[in-house]
Amino acid sequence: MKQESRDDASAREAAVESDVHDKSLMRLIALGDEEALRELIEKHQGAVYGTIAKMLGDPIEAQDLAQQAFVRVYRAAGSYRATAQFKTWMFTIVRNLVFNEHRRRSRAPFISLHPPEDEPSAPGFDAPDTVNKTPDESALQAEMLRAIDAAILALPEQQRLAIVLRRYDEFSYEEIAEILKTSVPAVKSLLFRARETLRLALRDYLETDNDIGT
Amino acid sequence: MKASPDNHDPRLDDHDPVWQLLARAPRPEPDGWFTARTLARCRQAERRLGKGLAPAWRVWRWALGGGIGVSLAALLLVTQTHPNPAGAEDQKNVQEAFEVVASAGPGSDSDSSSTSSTWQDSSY
Repeated sequence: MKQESRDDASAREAAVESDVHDKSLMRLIALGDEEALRELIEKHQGAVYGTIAKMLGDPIEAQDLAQQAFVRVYRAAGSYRATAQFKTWMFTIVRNLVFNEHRRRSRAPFISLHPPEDEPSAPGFDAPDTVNKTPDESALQAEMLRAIDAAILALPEQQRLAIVLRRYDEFSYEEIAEILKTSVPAVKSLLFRARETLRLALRDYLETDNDIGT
Repeated sequence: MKASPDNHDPRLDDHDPVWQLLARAPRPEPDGWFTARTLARCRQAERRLGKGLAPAWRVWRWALGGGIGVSLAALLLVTQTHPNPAGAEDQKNVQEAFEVVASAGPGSDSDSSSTSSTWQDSSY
């Protein structure tokens, strides 16, 4: 228990340090420092691109949107006021871009020019490990990955973003509430419903896991 | 206790089988050229913004100058006073004419009728 609280405290300390560094990078970017911009992009590209890719299920579109997010951050550097956490502020931009993209897609039917996700060679997504696993294991693994991504994609957009931010970006409930512009109880409710939907959609894989575990 | 959104403890997330299953499908990572492409796009956006703003700035300056000029002209027109306004002079003349007609009295009416009958008789 003490170990856990010590870990929490050190994680919080690291997060504060990281935020201070991000804000100093933003000040340098506002002064036209390109190296600071490069550092900021390199630091956050995984989270920004990964979140958008999980939200859209299209790696090429995700790359475009992630770049747009950084362009917006860059343009806003001059007027950026460090009132909130930098990462929360940046993910508010990501949220707006992703939700706008959803609205655009819902208005006009989206026809992707890129290969569909279920093709094994879909770029940007992890290919099955054919070196350390047998073809059967690799096929099962690939099928499970597709099922998980499909189940996440089937969630309503608020639930989907909440679950991606919580699971993959490890945001706190308060931070997710700030990004989604809602309350903490609403975030808890979104996560609860998303989790229950995923439990139902992925029950086959959960049961397989339990069988293997026993 | 039954799980519900209100009594959910974030610490329990890691022990949830759904949570563990989601971890097996990690977030995709961008390719190695992502940073370079994004930097290029930021530079491009900056150039476009610079190009777009320069003419806008020039137009804005001209618009401001023109606006100030028009405002000054309008102000001068409104505040300028004529020493002897033509409208007031006309009104005075009309009023004097009415006063002359009114002061002529009822006797002048018969005169005018005889004049008119004379005019009628002139057809002979």
